[in-house]
Amino acid sequence: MIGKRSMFVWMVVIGLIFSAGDLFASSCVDCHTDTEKLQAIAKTLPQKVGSAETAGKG
Amino acid sequence: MAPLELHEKVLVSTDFLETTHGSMGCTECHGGNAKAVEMVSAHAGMQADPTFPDAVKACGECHAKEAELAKTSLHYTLATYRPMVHERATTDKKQLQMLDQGMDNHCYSCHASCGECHVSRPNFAKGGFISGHNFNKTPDQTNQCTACHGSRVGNEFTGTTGSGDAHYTKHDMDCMSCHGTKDLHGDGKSDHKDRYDVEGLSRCEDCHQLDDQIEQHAIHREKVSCYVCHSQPYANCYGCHVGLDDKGLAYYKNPDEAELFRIGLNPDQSKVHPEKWVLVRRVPAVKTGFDYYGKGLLSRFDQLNNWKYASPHNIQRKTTQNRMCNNCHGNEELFLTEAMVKPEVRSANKKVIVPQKMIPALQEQTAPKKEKKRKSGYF
Repeated sequence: MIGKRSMFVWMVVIGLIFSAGDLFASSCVDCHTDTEKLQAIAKTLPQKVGSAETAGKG
Repeated sequence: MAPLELHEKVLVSTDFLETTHGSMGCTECHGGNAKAVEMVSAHAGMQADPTFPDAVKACGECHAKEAELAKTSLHYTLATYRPMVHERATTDKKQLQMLDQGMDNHCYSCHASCGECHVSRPNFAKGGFISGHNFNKTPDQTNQCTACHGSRVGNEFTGTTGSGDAHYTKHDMDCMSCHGTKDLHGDGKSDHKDRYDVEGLSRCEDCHQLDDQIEQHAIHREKVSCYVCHSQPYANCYGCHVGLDDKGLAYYKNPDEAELFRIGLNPDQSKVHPEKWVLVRRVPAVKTGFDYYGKGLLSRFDQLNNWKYASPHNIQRKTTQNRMCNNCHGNEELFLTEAMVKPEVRSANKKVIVPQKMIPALQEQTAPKKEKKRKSGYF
């Protein structure tokens, strides 16, 4: 028989195993709430440009 | 409106994460891979704006009615553009394809999705969250409405050109004070020929009950549109040409523009606009506008007028033309006479051009009546 206490420990261990992927993976908000990270990434990206020929009211 | 830095455009506020929308996983709406550890794989298959072209999947579960309306909203579909341009166009199928390509590259790159009015700046204004991805029920005038409707409406409304609109300059009203859901989401119908055909659009009379005690209202009601008496000169554009530059980037050139005030004949008198006299604006449509995509694509240009019904957003209670009867009556300068229309588009505009003999005659000069001070009024 497994005691209540060891059952609880096992459940915690199993839970950790299943969530390990999530714990070590990046999540969207890690970057998207961090100004410095985004600034650093933005420096590496090409700027979108529009045509220089556009002129007048649109 | 200052442009947003690249990182600002996608910076999510931590407040947002506490909201109903923020408590959903990012990938639930945007797709992509939340478990990826580097940027490219995290964004693979991601949809930056999950509300376009179909809002139902992202918004429909909670906002069913709005998501359904989006399918026919002119902000979404710009549905009146193509039939209107086609009415002026060649009937040759191959040439029509060339024209459609031009319209897709230019006209149809400009639209507004749910997200572009409630979350971010519109793509036309280079996008970017306006409040850290928080959803705003009411669009923001500067970041959203006039980000697109800026060169005419925005400038006129805020007084960048002219004296501004009294609704804004004196009464601190914004776009949303007048333009409700019907104006923005549409009426659910998909067969409108003109944007003014949407049922239930906001009207001056929604707030201003026409008061026959005001002599001029009693005389002019249902004959002259409100704008004729209460607008200032407004932007007119004469010749938009579109094309692709050496790098394949879409451009438009619309250099011929002027602030004018022109009273014309209402080309589409209807229940909503029964007035005979309306303001007309020169719209940028021009016969050679799509020549980059093929010569003669608008070979039936004269089928439609390009001086069109106008609703300038620069309303004032007192204007130059309404101070004295003869500022308007007999004042040829204010009317869209044949001489005011370029010869090459006179035929297209015959419905709106005011024949000389129809210009209201000069009134006998009488001393202006003293107007009773009104107890309450908007302006």
